[in-house]
Parts: sequence; C-alpha cells; structure tokens
Amino acid sequence: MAERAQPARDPAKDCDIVVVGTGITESLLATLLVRDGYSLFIIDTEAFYGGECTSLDIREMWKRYRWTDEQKHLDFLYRVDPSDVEELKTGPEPPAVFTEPAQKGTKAPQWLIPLVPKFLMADGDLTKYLRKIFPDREGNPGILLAQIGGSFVVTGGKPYRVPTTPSEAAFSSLLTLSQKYLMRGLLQYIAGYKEEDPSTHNGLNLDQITAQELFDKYSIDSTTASFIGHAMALYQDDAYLTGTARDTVNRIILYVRSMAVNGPSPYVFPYYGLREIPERFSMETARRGSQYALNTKVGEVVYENGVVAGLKYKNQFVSKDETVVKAKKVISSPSHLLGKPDASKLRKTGKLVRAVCLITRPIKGIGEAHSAQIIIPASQCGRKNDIYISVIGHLHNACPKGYQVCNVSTIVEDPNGNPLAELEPGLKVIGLGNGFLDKNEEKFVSVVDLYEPAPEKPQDNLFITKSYDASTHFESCIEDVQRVYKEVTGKDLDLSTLE
Amino acid sequence: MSARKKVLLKVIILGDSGVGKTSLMNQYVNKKFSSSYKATIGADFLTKEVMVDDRLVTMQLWDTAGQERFQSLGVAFYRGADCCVLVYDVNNSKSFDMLDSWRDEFLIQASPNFPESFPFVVLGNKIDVEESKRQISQKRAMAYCQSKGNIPYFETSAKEAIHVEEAFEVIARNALAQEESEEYNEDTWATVNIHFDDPQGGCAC
Repeated sequence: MAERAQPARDPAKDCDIVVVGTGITESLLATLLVRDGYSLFIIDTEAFYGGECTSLDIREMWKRYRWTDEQKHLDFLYRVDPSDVEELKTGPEPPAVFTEPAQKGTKAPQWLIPLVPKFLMADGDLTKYLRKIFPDREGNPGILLAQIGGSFVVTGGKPYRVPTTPSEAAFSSLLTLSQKYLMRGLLQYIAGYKEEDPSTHNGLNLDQITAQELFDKYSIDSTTASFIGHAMALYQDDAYLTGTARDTVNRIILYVRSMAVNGPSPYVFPYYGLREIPERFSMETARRGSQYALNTKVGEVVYENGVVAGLKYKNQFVSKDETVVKAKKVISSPSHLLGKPDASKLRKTGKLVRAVCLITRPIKGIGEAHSAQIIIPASQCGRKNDIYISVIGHLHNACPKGYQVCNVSTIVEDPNGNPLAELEPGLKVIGLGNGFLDKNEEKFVSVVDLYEPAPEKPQDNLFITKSYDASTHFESCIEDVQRVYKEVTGKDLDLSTLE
Repeated sequence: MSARKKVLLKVIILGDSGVGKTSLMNQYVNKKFSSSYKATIGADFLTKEVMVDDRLVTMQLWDTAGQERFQSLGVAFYRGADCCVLVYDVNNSKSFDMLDSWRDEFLIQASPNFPESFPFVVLGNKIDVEESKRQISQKRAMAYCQSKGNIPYFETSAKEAIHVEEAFEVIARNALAQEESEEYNEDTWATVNIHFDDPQGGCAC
C-alpha cells in the first residue's frame, strides 16, 4: 500500500457541550443549541452521519451486515487511526450485480438504503423544523422531500389503501357497509371539530373520555377501530384505547392534514436518502462554529464532584492517544454508552427486529404505488404489536430501477423465540415468505435493543436521548428533542419562535 | 440539450484547515480579505453570477465550514458538484501532501459518473508570504497536477488578489462543461415532488 500522508494533529477546542451521536435527535438538538450560543463538539464512532437514521450505499450495507465482528472491529480501529492497524482484514464485497453498471460506460447503480422503516409526516413537526431551518431559497431548495406513493393496511392478508376522507371512507372496500357510514360520521366530526366552538364538540369533552368511549359514541366496531387506531392514528398497540380521546383525535388530524399536503399518502421522504437530514443539520451546525468528528472512538465521560467535566475520545486528527475534551455537559445517544460505566444509567425498553430487503418483484396489492407504507395491524396477525413495512424505489434514489427497498420491522414479543419468525407475516406481504429469496435479491436482518434514560438517573449533566422507536414516523423523536432541550437549557422548545 | 435554462454550477473547495479556502472565496466574490483567521461562519455557500462566453451562469461556491478539520464532510456537501477546487498552502508541505487524499475523498463521496474526466483545479495559495518560507516549488506542484491528468494549476494570493480572478474563470468554464455533460432526469423529481402550500391557508405553527 502506498504511503499515505499523515494528517496534522490538531486538538479539539474545549466546549460547553459534547454531543455523542449524529442521529436525527442529536443532530436537531445540536442545531438548536448552537443557535442558542452554546459551543459544541459533536462526535460519532461511525464513518457516516445519522447512526441508525441514515441511508447506506451497497458497500456500507455489506460491511454492516456481512462482515464478521473481527473484520468490523479492525475496520473501526483503522478508521480511528490507520497507523494502529498493521493489516486490514476486509470482509466480503457485494456481488457485481449490485455494483457494476448494466452496460459498460453507463452509470454504476446507486443505492441509498434506509436502515429504519420510518417516513416523515408531511404536516408533522420534523417536517416543520426542516422547512424552518432549511427554507427554500434561490438556487437552494432546502432539503428536497418527496412524496410516498401510498399508505396501506393489511386485512385478510391483502393490502388496502387507507381511506382518509369521509367520502373515501364511504367507498372503501375495507369496511362493511354500515361501518363505512359510521366511520364517515366520525371523520366528519373530527374534520368539523373546532376547539373554540362548543357547538362542534357534540357534547364530548375529548380530555375526559377515552378513545374507546369516542368509538362507542359513534358505534365504531372493533375492526374499524383497529383500522382507525393503527392505520390512521398510527398507534403500535392497543394501549391507546384507554388513553384520552384527545390524543387519538390529534393523531388522526395530523394524518389527515398530512394527506392534504401531500396527496397519495401522509408521508414524505428525503429525495437523497435519510442521511441527507443529519448531514444537512451538521453543515448548518458546523457553519455556526461547532466542531464535528466522525470516525472517533468514544471513551468514558469524565466526572468531577459527580458532574460532567469532559469526555475521553480518540481521533487520528487530534492525537495518537486518547484525549479529554473538557465540557460542562454531555448529550449522548444510548448506543454510545453501552459497555461503559454510564450504561447503568440506561433502561432497556424493548427489542426490535428489522429486515432490510432488496427485492426485484413488485408487491401484490399496492397497485402502481412507487413507494408505500404498509401496516399489518397486530390483530390481523395474532400479535400484540403491529408489523410495519416501508417500501421505496428508484424514484427516491434508494436503488437502481428494477429494485425496491423494503424495510420490515416489529417489536420482538417472544424473548426466547426466533425474532425473524415474528416478521413472517410482513415478509409474506412482500413475497419473501418461508425464507424465499429470488436471484439477485438480498435480506439483511438485525435485532436492536431499545433504550431510554433510567428513571433514577442522577442529575449529573449527562443527558441521554432515546432509541428510535418502532413507529412509522419521526414524531416521537421530536418529543425526545423537546425533552432533552428542556433538560439541557431549562427552556421549553418553541417551534414558532425559531428563526 | 434542453433550451437555455438558468445554469447553476456547484463548486466545492477542499483542502486542509487554514490554507485559505474561505479567503479565496471571499476575495473572488466580495473582493475582501480579512487576515484574522476564524473558522468559517456564514452562509452555506456564496454565489456569484458570471459570464462564460455568452452564457450567464450562477456559481455556488460551497465552503467546508470547518468540517474538513476532522475529515467529517457528509455526502450532501459533495453531491452534484460540477467542479472541485483543491487548495494547499505553498508554505505548508503537509497541506500539499494531503491534496491526493482530498482528491480521493472527493471521488469516493461524490462518485461522479466519469471520474477520469471530472474537472479539478489546484490552487497553491499564500504566495504573498516571503520566498524563504516557501516549502513547495511551482515545479513540484505542476508535476503533481500533470501526473493527475493535467489538472489546471494556479498560484494565488487571496490576500493580494493575485490570480484569483483568473483561477475562478477557469473553474467556471470547466464546471459549465461538466454540467452540460451530465444527464438529467427531471421527470423523476417531478413524479415525487411535493409542494408545501399550506392547505389551511396560513401557517399552523
């Protein structure tokens, strides 16, 4: 190997806050905090932005899913400091069909494969933050968001388009005749509901009745309720039925408003892949003076008198050995704390199983939709948690023409069972039932533990974000940004005053 | 090629920290130079309208905003670049040694369709500093550029405005040629683009 130039070593400046991790939660927090005048140092162990909220090219997928742990570890050491690694033991590369141009002299296939099956609600808070922070300007269209072609719910093994307007509800083949009219009645009530006008409330106080009571009031049966709760309000299980009707109504309004913005589905997705979001946040945060370092080994948080004093880390552009950056506060993603003393400040909240599938055959039942969200309600597959499938294709630059990228995921319910088996109803929908995989198709399976900060966590100026949940969108991630922002600054986050 | 639509050229400027990337941009766009070094703060890019032959083009000059310091630039920075300007400091041999690494990084991250013909321009900056401090000779820099497929090379001073104008003229010309050779698929975007006209008429936030 040719002798490579050694980089200049150049220590990071001490700062107010170190942010560990570059997922959408951490990236948005950093962007908001730098605007408040905090100095930041943002680091990540990976070679790319976004943590799990990212899109990978095909070689990165192979590295993540097909290399051995030893190969990945050597690759990590090499990324942190090439001079520490005598011999790099690289792993398998993707087959030529994924990397080589179909004809000589044409462009090689491009892949931007999302790791999580999440989209943005077109009228949701993340979209609003993006539009505020990256406004359309002459020659700079902000972050390009593209529509997702459909929203489907599986009933009796078949996907059906989710009806969202009163009139669509009346025509949907998903519902029985009588339920169509009852659902139309409920949607009309929600569409006409005005907080300040009690005559539109139909005598109901949404904060005092449960979702179940609201459904009962409109004689919605359990099948239709399951459909409304899971495919429109996007609840992952049935716990919402005993929560306030207000929450359910707000979620239905978000869904319907998002549909109104967007058309065939309530979802949008970055035109250049999920990684575009954390990357653009990083550029915005960097140009306001924050320091960024990827490929960094994250060490332990340093405490003095029980509060954060800094963080140990190692990066080849800083020094040969582990160094400490002084800081008053540390914000960290849970995954970066694992295996360290601060892992005791985490609480495990569940386990997800995901399969990222590259398929070459169209999905039955979604018609001409070029991309889709497909929900299999728990009740449809004998489970407690829904199964989610996201589908995107070449129109979103996710893959070359002829492929579709499907991401199937659910919460693991049997801790002792085979997690992949729990995805089976979802895999069946995309034609990959019984372990079937066609020529030139691929399936990458992972099981992910979910964490949040432990309730008894001390007040020590270490702030911990939550893992990305199983939901189909990023709304809960904005709730987490609001929580951490308040913990760090003592202030409430207000989207409307954001400049 | 389609009718004469407005041409937007994305130019990115790469090189080690402190070689004068921002100063060069500022000198070219704003005719200003500030000797106090500070990490780049400002807009994500500067724009300048220029005539190339008889065509009016808008150049977008993208700055690294300090993310180059720990080599942490994302793909979004590189995406769609029409020309890549590599800058080193003629008084700092390390910054010259790193040129190759920046060029490789660009080719990996931007993955242009035809890497062999993608336009680079190399600038050796800070030639206003006294001759005794100089570490990289013009001959050595030109040999490097020749070995990489005849990359155009300029010796510049952002401070004294030496050769900055000439260099960016070539940058604009080569970027335009590159832009015209790229195939476009605007239909794809048209299929999935959404318009965020507020359906309720008025901002909900």
